[in-house]
Amino acid sequence: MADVHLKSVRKSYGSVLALSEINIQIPSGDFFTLLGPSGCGKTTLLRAIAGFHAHDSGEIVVNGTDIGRLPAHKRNVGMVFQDYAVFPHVSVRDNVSFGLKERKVPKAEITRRVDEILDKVQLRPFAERMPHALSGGQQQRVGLARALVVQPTLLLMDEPLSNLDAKLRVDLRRELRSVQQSMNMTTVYVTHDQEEALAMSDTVCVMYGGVIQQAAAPWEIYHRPANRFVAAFVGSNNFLPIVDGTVAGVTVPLPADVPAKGAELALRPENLAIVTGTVPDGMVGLPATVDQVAFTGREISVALHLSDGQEVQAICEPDEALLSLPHGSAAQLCFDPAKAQVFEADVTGRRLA
Amino acid sequence: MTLPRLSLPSFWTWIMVAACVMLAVLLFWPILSVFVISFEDGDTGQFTLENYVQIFTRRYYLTALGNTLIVGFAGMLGACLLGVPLAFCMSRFQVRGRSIISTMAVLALVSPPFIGAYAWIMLLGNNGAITNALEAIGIDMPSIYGMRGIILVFALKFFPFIYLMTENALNGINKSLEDAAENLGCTAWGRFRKVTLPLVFPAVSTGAIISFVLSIADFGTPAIIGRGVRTLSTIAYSQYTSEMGGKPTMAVTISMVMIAISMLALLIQRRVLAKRRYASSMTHKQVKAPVSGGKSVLVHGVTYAIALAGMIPAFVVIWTSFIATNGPVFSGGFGLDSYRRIWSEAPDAIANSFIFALCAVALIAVVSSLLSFIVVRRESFISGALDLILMVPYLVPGVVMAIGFVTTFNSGWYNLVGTATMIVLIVFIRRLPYGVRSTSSVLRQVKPSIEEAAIALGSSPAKTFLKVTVPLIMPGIIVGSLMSFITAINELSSTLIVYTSSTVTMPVKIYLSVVDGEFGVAAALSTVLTVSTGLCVFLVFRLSEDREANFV
Repeated sequence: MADVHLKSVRKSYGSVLALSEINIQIPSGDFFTLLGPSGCGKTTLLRAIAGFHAHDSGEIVVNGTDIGRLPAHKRNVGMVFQDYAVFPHVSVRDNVSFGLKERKVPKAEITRRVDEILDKVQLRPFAERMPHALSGGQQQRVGLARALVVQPTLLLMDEPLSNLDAKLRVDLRRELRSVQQSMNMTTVYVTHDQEEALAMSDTVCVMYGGVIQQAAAPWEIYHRPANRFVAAFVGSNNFLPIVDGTVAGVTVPLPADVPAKGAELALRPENLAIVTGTVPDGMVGLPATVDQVAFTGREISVALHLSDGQEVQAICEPDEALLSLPHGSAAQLCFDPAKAQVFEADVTGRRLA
Repeated sequence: MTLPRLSLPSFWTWIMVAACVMLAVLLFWPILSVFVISFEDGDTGQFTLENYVQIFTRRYYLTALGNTLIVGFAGMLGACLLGVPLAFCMSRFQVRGRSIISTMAVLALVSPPFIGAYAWIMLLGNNGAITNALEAIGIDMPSIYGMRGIILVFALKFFPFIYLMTENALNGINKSLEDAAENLGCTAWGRFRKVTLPLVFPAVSTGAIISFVLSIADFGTPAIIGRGVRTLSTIAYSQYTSEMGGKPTMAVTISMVMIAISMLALLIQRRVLAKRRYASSMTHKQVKAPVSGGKSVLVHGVTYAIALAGMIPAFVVIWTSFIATNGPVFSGGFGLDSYRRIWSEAPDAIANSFIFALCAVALIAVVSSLLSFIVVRRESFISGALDLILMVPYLVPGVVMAIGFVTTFNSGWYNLVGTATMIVLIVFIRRLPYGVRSTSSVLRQVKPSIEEAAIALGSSPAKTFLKVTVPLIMPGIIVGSLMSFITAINELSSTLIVYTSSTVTMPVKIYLSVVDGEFGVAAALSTVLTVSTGLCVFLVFRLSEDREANFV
């Protein structure tokens, strides 16, 4: 258990800035996720915390001491790797006891602690097996047990589930989270999977271009994105340019400070409704043409284009009438202006409303 | 109802049968006849175990057996101690001029060991350059002759095998594994010892076993630098020459023991390796760390020292070949006397070497492309067995193969004793695996669908092979031919048994010159050999993408 404080951590590769002024505070026991597209600096930051490469400046403070200049093998942070990194030449038990042997823990205690952690990750019956006889999911549990058994101050996970298939990913996601919660282990987790980030984390930290865009609780990230990048990367969004207070020629009620140009209206697909008759009270209707209606079981996804040709994606409750709308039929795309957000048109443009 | 017509055996069936016959005649018959004769009484021809009893009871043989094992193990160990650190430095650090180092390693690998033995005598022998220099300032060098010299030559000769294989394996280790060990609290040395080394163990041991097998099979080195130290290959040779005329029972019995040791070494290594096959997904590639300051001096010092040590023999022979001589005596100053002498005294050796090697290589090119097609494309018991059988020539020492040929093809219409054909055939069968390996690795990358397309368009299997497959695998055939040429032209141990005055080759002439103390002639011939070998290495490098991998 530990609280972590990153103070102005910077790192560049030649002229390329990988991390720019990273300031993060992670409370003890927090599940803190670094989320972002590839190349955003999330793995670089994680590996800087682990000590696999030196950052150029700044401090990595864990429990009040700066560990940023310690060699990696002295930092006592656990790490789970994307490719499991389970030593192929030794058994599951020897893999898990590796770190304990390095720490010169007495033999009897090693056996006890290894058994205990293997129970926790449900691998006790596989203790004497060699890694090649395990499935991917089991190997990653070995990786987790091996990192946790040394009682690290902090657990780091680098896309630990991305090499697994979809079903297993969801199962192991729950398991990871419950082990982490039961041990109250401060965890920094790297992923590019937004659903994983939202489902597991106490705090989601969205990164882009080596810069933290927003660090907040999942609900906050989804519902009150700090900028256009977060709004676009987490969940999906339709961005429609605002021209002199209108969208596709229809006047939309907007806050007073929205500029005449250079702003966009963000509409989440699930906040959109499609009506063929009159627009309900309090909603704004944009005339649109239906391109395609796809039924996916839980919902219906509709692709439309507005009168000015812009394409929009909507997700609606399953409705047979909607499903039977022929290609090219005219409809009104309705939304509640209170649920619409306004951003500056830039990639990382500020939220205006 | 009509019965399905019996179809004639197809083209590839014929080739397969021909391949089996060829291997039976050229590989198994000689080995079998050696095996049979080893159980015969030299005079009466009766079945007896006496030959083996003698080898395992008489001091003369036991000493040779012990010496062979000692030089084999020590040579292997020395090669590991040079090869593994070199591989580690090369794969983990940014070494300047790395291609120079790997080129030197390959050149050291392909130059024949007896040239190394003789070059070290030039430096450290009784009248060697370094010995004399040190004597002048009052330092007495321990003698290079005997065990010490043999081991030195083997270590410096065979470390490139270990280096090339280990470096390849080190580059293939998933970096996450070493990161994980570091993360769990392992120091740099601990990581190397507990994670890296066990993971490259299969590669190191494969290289080590090759060094061992080649060490115990080598004839030239112990013969030249061994002085009183006899090994199995030198006593097999001297037994063979002393039994000349009669049945070479003791020589063949020694040969059987040598084959047995090689096979045992291979079996032990296979057994140890069986439990250690690590398939690993590579998601995290190794990065070469920059080095500076004292570490840089150390890393560059180690790598260049090892690589240069392997090249010393080549430098020495080239240097001495240009020293003026007066008869067998170096008269000081530089001159081309040695070259004039080989031109007048040994033109036939040079011509023979090239003719024999080229004939063998032509055979190897044709046969290996056919064989590799069978091994790669035909899925049958025989094609699998062929793959294994082609390991056999690696295991049979040259002396043994030659004795086998002489005891087999010695009468009637198939009497080949003393002919050039025998030398070509021995070299052919001994070096065939190089050609097959190189050709089949290229063929494995050619999709069968290309050949199937030709057949579907109406081309016969034989025509498809000639018109489609051969052009596609030509790079492999050429590289394989060059590799076989390198080993063929440097062949000594088998040729020495079967040569006559009209079929003398360069390595034989070098050996005889060294024995006669004609060091100038030996140096000039060695230079011709070294330069032609170097030229082939250069061509392999130019023609092949995976340069160094061809040599191991």
